[in-house]
Amino acid sequence: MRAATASNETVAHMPLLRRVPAPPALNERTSPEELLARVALGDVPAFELLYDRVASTVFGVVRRMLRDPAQSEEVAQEVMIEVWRTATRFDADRGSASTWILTMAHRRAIDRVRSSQASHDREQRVAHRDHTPAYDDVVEQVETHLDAEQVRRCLGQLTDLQRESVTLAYYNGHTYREVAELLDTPLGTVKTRLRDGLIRLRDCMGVES
Amino acid sequence: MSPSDTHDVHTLTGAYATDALPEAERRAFEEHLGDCPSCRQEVAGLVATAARLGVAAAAPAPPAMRERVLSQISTVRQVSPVVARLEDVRADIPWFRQPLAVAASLLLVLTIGLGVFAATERQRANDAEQTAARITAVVMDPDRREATQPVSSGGSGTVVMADDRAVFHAAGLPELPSDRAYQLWRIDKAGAHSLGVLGRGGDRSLQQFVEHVDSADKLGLTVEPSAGSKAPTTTPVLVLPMPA
Repeated sequence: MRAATASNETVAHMPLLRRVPAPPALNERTSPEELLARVALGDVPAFELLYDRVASTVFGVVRRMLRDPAQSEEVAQEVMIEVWRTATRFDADRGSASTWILTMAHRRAIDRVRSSQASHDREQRVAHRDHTPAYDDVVEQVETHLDAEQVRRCLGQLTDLQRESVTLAYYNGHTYREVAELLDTPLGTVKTRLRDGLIRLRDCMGVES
Repeated sequence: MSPSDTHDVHTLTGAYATDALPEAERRAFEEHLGDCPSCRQEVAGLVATAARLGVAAAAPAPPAMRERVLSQISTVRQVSPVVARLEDVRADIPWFRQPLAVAASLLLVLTIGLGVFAATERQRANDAEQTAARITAVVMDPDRREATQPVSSGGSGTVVMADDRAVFHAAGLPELPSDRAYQLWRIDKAGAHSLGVLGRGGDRSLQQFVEHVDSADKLGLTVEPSAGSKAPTTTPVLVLPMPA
């Protein structure tokens, strides 16, 4: 068989093919998308690397919304396990790995926030206006992170109403109806401010659309 | 959604991307998304933007959480949204030929859920599913390339290649005595590297999923002792260049 191919070809050193997947070594530069693809194949070391890459963001988003550390940890943990469980369904054509994971984290936290009792309590609070606008708090946290500067700068370019709508909805997990109530603004206005605000942020952050 | 709402349904993209729609409205909006490509595009950009806001909220996760997650995943089965059943893959019909028919016949949506199996059973199930899913991915790849060649002793071999992955399939091969088996090789400039012992042929077709193949490689099939050989010991019954 060797003779079939080696006759007039230079014998070069080629890496041996291993039948079990033996992909290139993983390291800090491996993209989250690649890691996720490997996780989808049941690769635990890839999952560990991915965990180290995204756990703080997942936890941060969840805690930002839920506040309670124990509950936040519980939800963040669920999210990371969900990442493992459903990595097989990640479709890179539809968005980045980080967007996929963070969207999952945000939705989970929202679900928790909106689950019956919590939601009831919150409505009470909303009704009583015992609420502190979130912006300063957000900015303070944001400043500790690498992406902070850009997010802070871009948030700063929004109108007050846009910024408040976006932060109350995204960071605090309020529905747009609650945001309207909190800001004492018509529903239609909040909808458009949320959209306009995000579009401005998108353009400011250079997110591809 | 009432008629008065539908005219401004597009403005809901922002509320949707920030998860600020109550459940019922979210479902209605997602239905609308199905019919509105421009909305989908806008939503994709805004969802990515919202995620960037999330990245900025990062806070160190409790170290204990890592331990717990890592120990838990060992008991959590990964979902397999689309897999091919190995029995189907073994069918003797030239299944590479009809990708759409193949899609229809092979695709099997598995029950989604947290399955906890005994370690070995889970591992075996995972391995089989992963292999089947990889085979499906290659066979369904829109950019796949194929090549078929007769096997000198009878039957034929086909390779389907997509990127650096390939599926080898051979059918109609003469059945070997019980102490012999067909062994597949990847042949490159350095020589032949075993891709595994595939079976005795006969009624059962042979197939193998292979990774890290180069388009300059060839696949070779030889008859070997049933345990397989470290290097080919007989003249190949098939030498199949990777499809260009």
